[in-house]
Amino acid sequence: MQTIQISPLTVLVLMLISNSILMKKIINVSVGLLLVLLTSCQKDFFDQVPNDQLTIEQTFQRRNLSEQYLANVYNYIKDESYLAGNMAPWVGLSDEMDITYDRAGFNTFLVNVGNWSPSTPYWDSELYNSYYKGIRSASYFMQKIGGNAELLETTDGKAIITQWTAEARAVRAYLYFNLLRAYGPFMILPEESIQPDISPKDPLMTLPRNSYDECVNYIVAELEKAKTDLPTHFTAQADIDYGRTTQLFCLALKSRVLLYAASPLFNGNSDYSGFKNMDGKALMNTTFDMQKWKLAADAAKAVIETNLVSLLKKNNSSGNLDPLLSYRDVFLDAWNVEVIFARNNNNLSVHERHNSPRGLGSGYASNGPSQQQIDAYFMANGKRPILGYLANGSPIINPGSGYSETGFSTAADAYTRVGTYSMWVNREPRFYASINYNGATWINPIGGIINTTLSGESGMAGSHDYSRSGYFIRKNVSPASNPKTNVYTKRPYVMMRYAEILLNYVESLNEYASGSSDILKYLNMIRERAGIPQYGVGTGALPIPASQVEMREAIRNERRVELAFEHHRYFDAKRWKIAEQSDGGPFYGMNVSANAPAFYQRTVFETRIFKKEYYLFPIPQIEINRNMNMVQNPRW
Amino acid sequence: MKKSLFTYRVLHYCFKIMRYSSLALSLIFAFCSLALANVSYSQKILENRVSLKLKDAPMDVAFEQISKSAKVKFAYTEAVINKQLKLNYSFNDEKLSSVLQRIVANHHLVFSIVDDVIIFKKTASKTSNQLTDIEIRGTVRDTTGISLPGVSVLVKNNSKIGTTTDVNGRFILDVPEGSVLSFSYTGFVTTDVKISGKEVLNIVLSASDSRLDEVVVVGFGTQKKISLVGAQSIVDVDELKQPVRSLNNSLAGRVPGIISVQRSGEPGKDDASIWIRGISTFENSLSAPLVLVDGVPRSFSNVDPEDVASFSVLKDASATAVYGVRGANGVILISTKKGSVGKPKISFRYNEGVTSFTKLPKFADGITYMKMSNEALVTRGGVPLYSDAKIEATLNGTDPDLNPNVDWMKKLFNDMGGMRKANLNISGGSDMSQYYVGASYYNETGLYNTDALSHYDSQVSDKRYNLTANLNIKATKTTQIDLGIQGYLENGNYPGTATNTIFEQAYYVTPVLHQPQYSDGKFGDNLSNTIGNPYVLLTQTGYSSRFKNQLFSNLRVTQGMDFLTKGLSATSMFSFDARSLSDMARTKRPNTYLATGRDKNGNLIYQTKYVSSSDFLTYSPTTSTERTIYIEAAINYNRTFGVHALSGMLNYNQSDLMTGSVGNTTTSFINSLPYRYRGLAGRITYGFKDRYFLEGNFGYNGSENFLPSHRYGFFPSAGLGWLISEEPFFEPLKNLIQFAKLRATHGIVGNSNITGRRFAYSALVTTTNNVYTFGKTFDRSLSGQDIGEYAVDVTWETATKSNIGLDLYTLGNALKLQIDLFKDNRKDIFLSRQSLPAYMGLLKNPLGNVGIIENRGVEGSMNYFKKLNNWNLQLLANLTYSKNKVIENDQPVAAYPWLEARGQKVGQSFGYIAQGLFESTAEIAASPVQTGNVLPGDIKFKDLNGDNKIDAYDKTAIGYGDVPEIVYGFGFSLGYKGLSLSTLFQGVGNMDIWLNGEGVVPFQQGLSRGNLFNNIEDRWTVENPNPNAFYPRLGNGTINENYTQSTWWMQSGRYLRLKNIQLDYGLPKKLVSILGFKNANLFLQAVNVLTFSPFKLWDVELGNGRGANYPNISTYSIGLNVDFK
Repeated sequence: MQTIQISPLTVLVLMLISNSILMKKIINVSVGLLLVLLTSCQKDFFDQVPNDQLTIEQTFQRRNLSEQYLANVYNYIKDESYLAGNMAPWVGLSDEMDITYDRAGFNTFLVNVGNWSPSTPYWDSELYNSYYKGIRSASYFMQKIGGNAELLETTDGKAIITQWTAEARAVRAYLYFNLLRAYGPFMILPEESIQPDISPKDPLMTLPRNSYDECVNYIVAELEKAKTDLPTHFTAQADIDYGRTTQLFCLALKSRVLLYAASPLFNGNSDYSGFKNMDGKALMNTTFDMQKWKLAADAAKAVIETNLVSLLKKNNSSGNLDPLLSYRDVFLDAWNVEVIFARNNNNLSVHERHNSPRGLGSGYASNGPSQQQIDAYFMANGKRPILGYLANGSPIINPGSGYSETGFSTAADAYTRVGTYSMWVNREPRFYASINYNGATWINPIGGIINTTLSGESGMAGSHDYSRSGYFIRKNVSPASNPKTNVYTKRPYVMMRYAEILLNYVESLNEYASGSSDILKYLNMIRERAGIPQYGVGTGALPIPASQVEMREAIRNERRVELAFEHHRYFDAKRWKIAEQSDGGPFYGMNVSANAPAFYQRTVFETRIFKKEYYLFPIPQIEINRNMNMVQNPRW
Repeated sequence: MKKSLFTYRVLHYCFKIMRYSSLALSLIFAFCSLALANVSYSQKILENRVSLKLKDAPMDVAFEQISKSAKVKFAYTEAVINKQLKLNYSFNDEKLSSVLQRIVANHHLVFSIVDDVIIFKKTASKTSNQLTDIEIRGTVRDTTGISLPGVSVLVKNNSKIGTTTDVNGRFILDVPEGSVLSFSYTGFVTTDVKISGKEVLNIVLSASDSRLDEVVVVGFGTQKKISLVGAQSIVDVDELKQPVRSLNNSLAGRVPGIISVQRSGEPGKDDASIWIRGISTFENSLSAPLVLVDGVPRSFSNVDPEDVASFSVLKDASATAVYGVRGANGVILISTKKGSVGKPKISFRYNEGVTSFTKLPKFADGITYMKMSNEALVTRGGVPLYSDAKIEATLNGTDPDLNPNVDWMKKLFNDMGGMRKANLNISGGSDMSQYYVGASYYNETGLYNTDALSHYDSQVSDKRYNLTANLNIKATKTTQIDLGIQGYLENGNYPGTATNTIFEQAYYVTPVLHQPQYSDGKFGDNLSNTIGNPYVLLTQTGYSSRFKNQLFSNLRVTQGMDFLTKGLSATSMFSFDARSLSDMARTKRPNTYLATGRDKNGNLIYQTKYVSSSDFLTYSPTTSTERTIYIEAAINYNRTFGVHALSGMLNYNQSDLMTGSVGNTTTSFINSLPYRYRGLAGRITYGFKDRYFLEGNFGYNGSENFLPSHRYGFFPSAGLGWLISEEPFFEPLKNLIQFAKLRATHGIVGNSNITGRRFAYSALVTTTNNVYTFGKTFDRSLSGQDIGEYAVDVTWETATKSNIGLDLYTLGNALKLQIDLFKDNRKDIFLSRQSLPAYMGLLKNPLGNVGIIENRGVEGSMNYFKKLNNWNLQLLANLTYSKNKVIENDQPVAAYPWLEARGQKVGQSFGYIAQGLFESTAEIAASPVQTGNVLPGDIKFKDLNGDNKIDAYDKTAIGYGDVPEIVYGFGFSLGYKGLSLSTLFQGVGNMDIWLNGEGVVPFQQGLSRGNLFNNIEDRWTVENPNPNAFYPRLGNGTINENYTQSTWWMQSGRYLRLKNIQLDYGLPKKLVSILGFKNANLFLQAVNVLTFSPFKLWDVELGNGRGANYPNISTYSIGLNVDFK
């Protein structure tokens, strides 16, 4: 290789010498031949990809590289902190909120106005494809990690391999569940990843979908399997390992999986009777099975019984429970007692920017909670302010709640300034921890009054960054963050927490063991921490919901408020089969194209379209085209 | 004469050293020739006197003494000296001429005078029945009386006796009596003269019919033009001498087969994209042709047109097969100028001109803007945003700080820029060596506005210096050495912010948001995280200077091997190229403010938008470098046996390119490895009676991208040429058609480039930094590993190319026509496999040789030339039509046939079919459901699948796309005596522009940003429901699908441009002579003078989008061209 490049020069010199000294034909001949021959014959000319390039084999021979591979598997767990992003469209698609932007890249707008079909690839790459990529990555990891020579040589190597395998398995189960909740029945893939150069004729290239129940059973079995090799909870681990999957992660996920499986959409739903594979195999059960509610309740109970987590409670300076602080800090205090699983790498800074006032804090003020969500928050007395809506959209105000939509407050209270629109006065602490409304004070100590009226500091005039409802989110925004100075508070993004488990438990218990004392006990636990009167006990106690139906209503209302903007509502509305009512029709906010007083008027900012097929996301059309055994979700 | 003596001495040493020659010294020799070039040329030296007595002097001593006495230098090879001989002579003040006569006669020598050196050579060895030699001398001239240097003078049937004419066209030769002398010279008819005692001959050679002897550059060699069978276009290099920076930008419309568009006019970054016969693969970037400058793969955009000797475009398989895996997209061959035997020729060319934009988009003024904003709200039930008072205040210019009305385009750009171009070159040489040395300078200043107060220059400008030297040395009788060195240095200056960002912000900003600069000097802005003020971006963010340099070098040795078998030669070339680019950005960001009102003292109240961390420039460099080593070696054979002409070529070549970069340019380990190619190429041509031509070519190439066992591919091609007009049966037609030739070729060429993927046979591990973090305090941040791409066993793409061509000369050779039909079937195109189900979970679908594209078309050119008395007229025209079609793209079958990309063009756009604007709510109710807020005046789309809703299933192939299918050019040149006028019109057809983006789409991002074009008045309104309005009913934001890609927003991008016009005036000979020149021309030259296009919004060549790029420029220049005596 080295000689080759100088050879023509050598030839040249040779030739010139030969020409004048000898003038011999023979030399000339040999020069001619040399010209041709010397430049050829260099066998390794192309073999330049060196062996010490990182190969996948080496990745599984070294401990640190293998762990990095595992870290990448974890990264397939969607970072759901940025609500306007395409990794987690669930809040913007639900009745909780509107994402202002209607431009390319913000797909919730298009879906909400009904422009959605299997061939509009809004989330194909962020969700559908990505889940399967993560599944492949996890499977490959489990396949290969057992042979890691460096690990096998260390004393605790085998134990690490076992634990890492279990972690990957738990993550894989989580990804399968993500597919299941959005796209319905999936294809259970072989334990080992499919070879990339597989023949197009191989049956593995045209896998049919498994049934919903098979999928649930598979995920549950996988979680059971993973659980046995994992530490109980992050608190049982070294500080440096916080954030890995644990037994509690598996148990909590199992609770969620089984709750979904027991719910009306998936448990004996006759709407899905025609949902079958090409070969006639039914993909959904059509007979209701009460036992599924029990399984769901038991799964939630199992988490409670570990006693590893509890609701975060904080006291104020006078030693009494401070509900606002308690609820707020569940999301701000890193790895607090309520956290089951959290993600250290996240986009909370972007979330905070989107939910900071524009003029005061250089934010975008662009994630607009709907008026419906505002109405869902309880009053400080624990009562619901709005019981429903008339056909013209006007609210049916709960007469005994003290709620009013006329006038402005004449005095300040613990949470509001004087002159606050009466709609937002005397609401529960979770409202003040979660919502920025016109006239609220910005939480950053710099302060200032948030103004979302037309020409207000966060108003519509002057920017495309504004809220179409006149509200934006306060929940999970740190008072220490200030987009204006690019200061954000780094913290884990909470993805699973104890309050959800309690709500899972009471919901399923109410279904199969209506009247069980546990229902009130755990539901009240939530309300107690929220700082509002409980049902049947404590100061200002409210009457206990009289029937199973009333209790179901109470539980659902509680869940909607407690878990708001945490990606639950979208799926809850679906599995309860209420999405036709909740997700379609006019969406209200304040009148953002006006200044006060016209501003304080319930105004439709969007009329959403919900079609029955929306209960499940469409399978990307291209996948139907690629796989002759793949059936589309119903009605798409 | 001191200088001459010095040079004699140098030359003397050179000759002496020749005996121990080496490369370095031969270079010196060459430079000596250069130095000598200025010395007087005459045979006066033969008048010098010699006085000398020689007794038993060895021959070399004798020569030395004679030369000393005559003050003349002798040169000879060793073979001349007979070592046995002792000489005895006595000269007494004798003329050198008679001295030489005696010596050469006695020793069977001949002498010739080159550059005042007397060169001795042996006469041909005597054969037995030797006739008496007689000395023949004479002069060779052309029909106009100009003496011809370098004419070969040979005794017919005895090529050992011969010489060439000197710089004055003279020769002396001893020849046997009765022999026939043959005078031959490229471009002239060979003339034979029988010697019958005539001692002084005055030969007049007439120019030959060029088509028979014209030699053209072909892949790895040259060939007689007549024998070409492939599709090859040769560009008249004089036409390339345009006042533009890049050669790329002069090609459109000039060369049949070249499809070209220029997407930017920004100085230094304005290279046009070029595709030969269109696009035949899935990536436009992978369709770029292979370019060779002086036989080495190189970029040609910065080669100065003045230095170009020939420019050929190879299009079909027979022409490109020799390039194997690199030839599928066609090949451009450029060779630079070489010297020719003769006195030094010095020429100088200078252009000076002004530039202006061909077209700058025009925005609506502030008043219109506000009215439209209000309408966008009101027309859909909202309330107006701007009050009448505000509009009134803006109109009256009350307090412009608070009521701005800014014409941003005017604020950003000047009306005029400038360009300057100069070239000086000198060429010449003796029959031992020829040289060409050229130097060029190019300077272009852009049209940006600058802030006179800032401490630096942010104007865009580009300066380039080119140097070119070509040296051709005849090292021995059979050895030729060619050395070429070229280089350029380019210095560019740019604003601190990239052009596209400045344009982008000019489209984001509105005329009424803020002032570029408030009256108190503060800079306006509306955003805080980025700068939204394009004027600030242009003038206040610093500057960036860029220098780019390139060195091309090539050294070729050619060894004639006639002694082995006649017509055989071997050649070898070594070349290294080096390139580097440094971009030194010196940037800063100023404080920006938004005025919101006035306090009670009348001072402006500001919102601070950005507080700068530094008032000073910060520095960040980026550099990238590249070097290429290229080697080739070849054996050539070329011989004529009577009516049979045979030639053969076998070539080995390899190249090795390595890049390096520092700074922002992303790089990777894989990219740091050299890019390598090697291959064998071969050609056999056979011609019979200059009437039938057969040609076979092959390339056998290897590429690093494939598994070792699949690395090499064989690419053969064959062609056939038939000169029908030479057939006896054609004779009756000769009056009508003087020349007719049919050509047909077929062959296979390859392509081994894979998009972004080298060494496809090895798997890739992708590492992502800080992908996931564990730890209570985020202290375990891990990078991520995954299998990026699996290894695949793939091979090259193959293009099967067929070409049929016809060349016709008619009207007494005045009209020349050429037409070619082609078909290019590209298969095994690399594609990420599209048919794998997503559940496989591959990060990237593996590559496969799965794509098939067919490309076919026609191209033709015509050239008419007529000379009448003092008039001459030339008409030129050419046309290229190429249309490609995707046959296979490995995509699953589409749900509906109209969604299918197979059968469509590469990169076909899909969108809705607009059926006009809705006229009433009743019509909307009766039509398929459309998304969003739909009112009368919104666009009505066609429901293709009949499901009564408009969705993705209703999109179909629309438009031609932004690469034209048709490119044509035509022009004329009219001359009268010294005056001539020439033009080139250039146009394209079957190209569309898709309008999209802020500016074109009113209020796409709401009412807070986004300029409006000044045609905004042409819209649908309730008062004037014009069904043919340009814009549908206005709205705030993307509230429905009005602005989704549809036929409504597809506009024809066809255009016709007066690309060049030139008026040339040759100064009268007398005047020129007095000034001491040989020739002198004054000329006016203009580029992009007029554009005719149905498209009006921006420079049509910029293509899709909203015209947010530096427009193409028009140049008007005046120039001078001088050839010195």
